[in-house]
Amino acid sequence: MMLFFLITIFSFLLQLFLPWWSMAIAAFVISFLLGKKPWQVFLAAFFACGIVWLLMALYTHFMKGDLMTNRIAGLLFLHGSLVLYIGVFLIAAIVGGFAALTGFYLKEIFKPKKLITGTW
Amino acid sequence: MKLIRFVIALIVAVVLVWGFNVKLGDLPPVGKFFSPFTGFWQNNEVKNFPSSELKLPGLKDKVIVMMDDNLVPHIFANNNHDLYFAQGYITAKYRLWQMEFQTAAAAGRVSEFIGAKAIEYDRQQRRFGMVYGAENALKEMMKDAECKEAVDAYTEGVNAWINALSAKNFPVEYKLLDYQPEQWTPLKCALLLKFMTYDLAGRSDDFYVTNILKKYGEGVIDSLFNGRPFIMDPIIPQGTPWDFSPLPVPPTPQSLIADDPALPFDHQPNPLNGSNNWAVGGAKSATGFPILCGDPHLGLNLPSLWFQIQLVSPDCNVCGVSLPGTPAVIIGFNRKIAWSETNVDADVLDWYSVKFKDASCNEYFFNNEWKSAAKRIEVIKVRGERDEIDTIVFTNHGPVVAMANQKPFHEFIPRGFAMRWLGHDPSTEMKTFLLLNRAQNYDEYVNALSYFSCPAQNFVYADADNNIAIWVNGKFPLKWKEQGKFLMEGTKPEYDWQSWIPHNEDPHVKNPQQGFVSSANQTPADSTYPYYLNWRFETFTRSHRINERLTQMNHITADSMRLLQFDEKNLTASTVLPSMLALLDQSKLDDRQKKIATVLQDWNDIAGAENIEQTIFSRWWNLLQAAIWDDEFGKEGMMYPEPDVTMRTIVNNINQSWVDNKNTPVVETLQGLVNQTFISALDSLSNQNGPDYHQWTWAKIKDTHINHLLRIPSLSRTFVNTGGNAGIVNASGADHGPSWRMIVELGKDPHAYGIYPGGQSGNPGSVFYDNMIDRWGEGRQNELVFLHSAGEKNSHIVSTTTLNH
Repeated sequence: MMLFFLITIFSFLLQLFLPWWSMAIAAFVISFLLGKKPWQVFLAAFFACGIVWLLMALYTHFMKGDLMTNRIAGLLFLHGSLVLYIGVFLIAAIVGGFAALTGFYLKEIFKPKKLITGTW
Repeated sequence: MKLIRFVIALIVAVVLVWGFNVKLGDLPPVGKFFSPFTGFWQNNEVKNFPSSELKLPGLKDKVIVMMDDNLVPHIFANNNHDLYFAQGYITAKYRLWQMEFQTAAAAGRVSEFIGAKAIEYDRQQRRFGMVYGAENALKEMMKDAECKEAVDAYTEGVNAWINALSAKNFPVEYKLLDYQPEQWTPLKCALLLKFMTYDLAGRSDDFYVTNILKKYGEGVIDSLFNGRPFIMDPIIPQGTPWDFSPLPVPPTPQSLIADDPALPFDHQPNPLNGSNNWAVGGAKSATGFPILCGDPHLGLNLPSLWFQIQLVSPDCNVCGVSLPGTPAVIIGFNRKIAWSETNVDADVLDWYSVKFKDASCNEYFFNNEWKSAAKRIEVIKVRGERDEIDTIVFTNHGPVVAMANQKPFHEFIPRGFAMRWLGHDPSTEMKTFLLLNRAQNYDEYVNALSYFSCPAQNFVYADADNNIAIWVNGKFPLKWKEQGKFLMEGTKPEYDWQSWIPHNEDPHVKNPQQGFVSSANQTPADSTYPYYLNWRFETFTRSHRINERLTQMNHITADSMRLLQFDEKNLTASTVLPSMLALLDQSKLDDRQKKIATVLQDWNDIAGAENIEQTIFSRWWNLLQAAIWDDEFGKEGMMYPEPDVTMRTIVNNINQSWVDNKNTPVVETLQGLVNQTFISALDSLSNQNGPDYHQWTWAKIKDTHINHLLRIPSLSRTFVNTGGNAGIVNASGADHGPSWRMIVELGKDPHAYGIYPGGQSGNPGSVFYDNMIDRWGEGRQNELVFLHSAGEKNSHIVSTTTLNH
């Protein structure tokens, strides 16, 4: 849970100033430092990054409306913008998830062999 | 093992990040584009108008910008530098992407962000000499202190906006195509004006008429391609005396055409840009003061071509529409005067044959000697690929747009000919607008017009001192009759343009007896006018209808003018339909066909949105024209005679030899073609829209739509329910029509109305992107807010922004 909150907060803060892929850095570094199990870091980053994008998308919807969102949905031949919200969640989620896994496995390389507790 | 796991995870992560960060094919970069932090989500926009204060380095003094409830800025500056700085800044705020796109399109730089598919388009723009022409115009413009101040300040203002822009606030088109704005330059202001010149004076039918001359001879040119209107109703009323003694016209050479054969290729229709404008004098208006109206017909796109604005400085208070990308108001009014333009369509683009010494094309023959050709290297940058290098050869006449062995981009361009185009000459059209914006009377209007070169425009004028006027205005070469109607010989100087028609000898009239002035691209003057401007002008239908109505009307108000701008009487139908119906042999029709013929019989010729008669007539008329002319003139590199000739053919039942289809053994008669095309018109309409003819309503079949400049349907308005058509006063065609409608009532204070089919914002995520389209389609207009001072209270003003220096 700790991992999830930290990735959520840092990926959010970084993306306020840096390009979108800065969320991968947050997931990578935090998993490297604090990760314990591969599935745990993957899921934490998956949901953290996905939820940050989803909430941010909902926030812009409430603050700025959805005229452009609807036009982009139309551009992608979608009926309504629901699929866009799911899509946004998934894009961020898989990027975050794999970045976290990379960070975790990097740490594993440097660890003494006996401490390995999980495989994937 | 541990290393392998890490490497696999790393590869997946890197591929995801990289793959989502680049543009794959036509898809925008997924990560960048969908990110709610920086992607398209940030381009959503709600309607709110915060007042604010803002520091803008570069300004000399404080500027106040008041926004009205239609998102029109009213800019109050204490000097002209700040005025145009703020115009550039505010225009860029709402229209930046369009400004860059249109100037890139003019300059042939679209491949830089679209990729290799635009190379041929870009090459054409370069070969047409668009950049060359813009450079010449800019040099001339920068010699004039006022033009230079305006262009430089406008450029600074646009760049002030660009420099303060962060990636998340880029217009959505940059995000879709994954590129970024670059610095604005004065050359881009000139390019935008050239973009309009190209649109309005960048076409020629010399190639087609030459091919017809060669195939059918001079007699056919005289009888079918003579430009004689079916009804003579020129811009300058017939009988108006000319207040000058004309200059001698250069002698006509023996042969009209070049010795070289012309080489034809694929057939494309020639798009026509037309417009209406008129002014009625105080004697005909309800207020006792003039009313001026204008509606330029151009390609309809989103973001709109026009941007409404009011510009106020110590020597200027002008309101109207501007072109995003260039300073000043182009069509508008101030407290004393109002003006609007329509295209003249003078022949200022001619082709000259070129005789090169050898394949190197370094020398060409002119006036009995070999002269060295200039060459210009054009580098076309292509996204993701190597630069494309092109060399353009120039003779004394201009660029050889397509060399003898090159396939031209447009059909009307002959191979191996040099283009003489007024659009390449140094000129200062911008000066005209800077002066017109400030003009207070007729003399200042005439002086302003004297700086205008190309594309020649009919400038209609009205003032608060009860004057009305119209000036067929531009720089016109002094030509021998029909000079440049055909491709010309390029080796002999007697074929060149030799001098110019003096400005005060352009056709013009002030306060004519009839109490109004008007133009709709028709022939400027009757045969008493001593100079040749072109052999053909727009057909009489719009202009004659306008003149007919203005002659009848009295106690004219802004609202009756609004209805005239939206007038849907189809004068082509009034002219030919009775003859077509009289020729129709009812005994050869079935019951349904007879019934439809009755429907047409009862029609009042109004092409309204709900009319089915217009749908049927329009299809029938097009098929009948094709049936008469296509066998002889539908070939590659040719064109049909003007509609006026077809009308004469049908109304007088003449030209039997052309009516006969050469491709069939039987001899067709006009009556036979009328019957045959009537039935095929109904059949094709039934096939496309179902047999129930009550469903064939005109707006639905015509399908007016307003496309985004990138032709993306979800950013476009795919259907507008509106009547009218080309050739009708309400000239709303499928994707072409009244790009701005304006009515100005002059008087102690001007009262004005206007609308264009779009909105002030270029952002598809804003309600102001397309909020005026439906009103436009209904023929309604908005009251234009005209303020006298920055402090003025007006219920339409919703916010005030102060720009500090």
